[in-house]
Amino acid sequence: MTSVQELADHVLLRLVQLWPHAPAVGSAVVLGPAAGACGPAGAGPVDAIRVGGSWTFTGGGAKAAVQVLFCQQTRCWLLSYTFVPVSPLALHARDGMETVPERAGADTAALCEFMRDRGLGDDWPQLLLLRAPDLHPEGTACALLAFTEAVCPARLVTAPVAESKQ
Amino acid sequence: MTRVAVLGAGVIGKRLAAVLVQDADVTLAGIAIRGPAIFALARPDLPYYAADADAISRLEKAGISMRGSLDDLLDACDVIVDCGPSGTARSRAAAYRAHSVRRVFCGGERHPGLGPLVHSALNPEVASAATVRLLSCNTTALARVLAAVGAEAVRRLDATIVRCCTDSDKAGKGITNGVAIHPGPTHHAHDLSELVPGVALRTVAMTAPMTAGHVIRAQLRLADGFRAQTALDRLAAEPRISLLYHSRPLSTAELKAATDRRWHNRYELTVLPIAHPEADELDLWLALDNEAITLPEAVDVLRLADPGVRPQEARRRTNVLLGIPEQSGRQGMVHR
Repeated sequence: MTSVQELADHVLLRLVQLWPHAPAVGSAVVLGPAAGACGPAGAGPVDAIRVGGSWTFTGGGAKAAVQVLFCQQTRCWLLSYTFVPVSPLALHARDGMETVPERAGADTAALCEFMRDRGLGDDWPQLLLLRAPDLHPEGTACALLAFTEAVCPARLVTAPVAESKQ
Repeated sequence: MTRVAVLGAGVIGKRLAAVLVQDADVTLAGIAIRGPAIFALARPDLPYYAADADAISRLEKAGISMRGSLDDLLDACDVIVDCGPSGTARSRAAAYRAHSVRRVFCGGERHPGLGPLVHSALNPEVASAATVRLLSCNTTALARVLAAVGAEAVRRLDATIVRCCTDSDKAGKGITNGVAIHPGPTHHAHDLSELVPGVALRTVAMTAPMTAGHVIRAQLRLADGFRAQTALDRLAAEPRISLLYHSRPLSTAELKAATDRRWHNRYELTVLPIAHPEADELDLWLALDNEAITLPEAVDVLRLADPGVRPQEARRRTNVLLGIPEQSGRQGMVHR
């Protein structure tokens, strides 16, 4: 397992645990910062998206195909989780997850500035829900979240040089 | 105690408001905003006022409570610092005059009718005027260099400015992969010439896709009798300048991230001499935080409204307030 996978799996596990009535089958796209960790990136990508690893997450009764991409931004991670819930119950934010105001969730620049404006700096431990998952008529739901490495402070996340070369 | 109002809660306005609530010499009378600024959403505890009639409904809809209108705020303050979008202040100036409040317009305002340009070290005597304009961020950086070296010691200044395409809180501006080259001379030389008329000035600029701060190459030709080492010593002695000698490339992104102030505010100007100085010229890289560098001089100007306050004392008190160490200018020191 690579450090990026550990981080993504940690977030997915927290996610499914926060929605205990919605263990699901789904897919997740993780958009990672340029250096594989939040903060200044000594090397690209520049005007490009780097394709990272892919695997199947299983945990908390859920199963999801995960794909990682690295893009030219340094602020935070994004995770888009599309899933078919077992039970179509209300999927609102719960303890440990915070829904940000719409204006602050328009992009990661506004989002990270919102967190700095609150005095929370660049490393926040919360899962931030940019968009609460709606249940679509065909039965799928999609949640968009942002997080930093501080979401799992017990783990060290190193710049995944090996990951970026995949 | 001086009651200070701030118009705008964007990049500059919110930083100024955050400083003013900590300043024991002033009271933050309120912040006038047009809509649900991200800062207002993050800090609903501060005293907000609706900047115009349309703002009332926008703010109510966003759940931001207001203490009143702009007129109410102007009735409750002694001075207003206008931190609105560049080039828009003229439309508000009449309202400020009608309330007889002192006006300080942030950098970016070009119209001379808004008052003379002021820098607390170059022309502090102007600061007590009823209406003044602060310098822009890059102009502030160049002004600090000239003030520290001494305008009388500089015969000519040529500057090439590499600007950030956008601010930290915006994703929607700027070209993604390339630079935009400004075709003609920029306003910086013109603005500085009002403060240091004896110095020949030329400034050009380009804009690059970054947010970590502007960078300037500044080439100074010194006046007869002045030597480069003397100029470097003077730069090193200025608390608002951090003189660095680096053997490796310096990353502005790392410079910003390493600053542990709120929003990574860097009030100090980073100066890197490019090469071993010639006898009578200086070739410098300047790295500045475009979002925070104007704050010290803005606070100075608020203090200097009192003609009894000496400029050096005003600057010293501002440095203490902002946590700018007295010895920040020591060579090789990195900002904390």
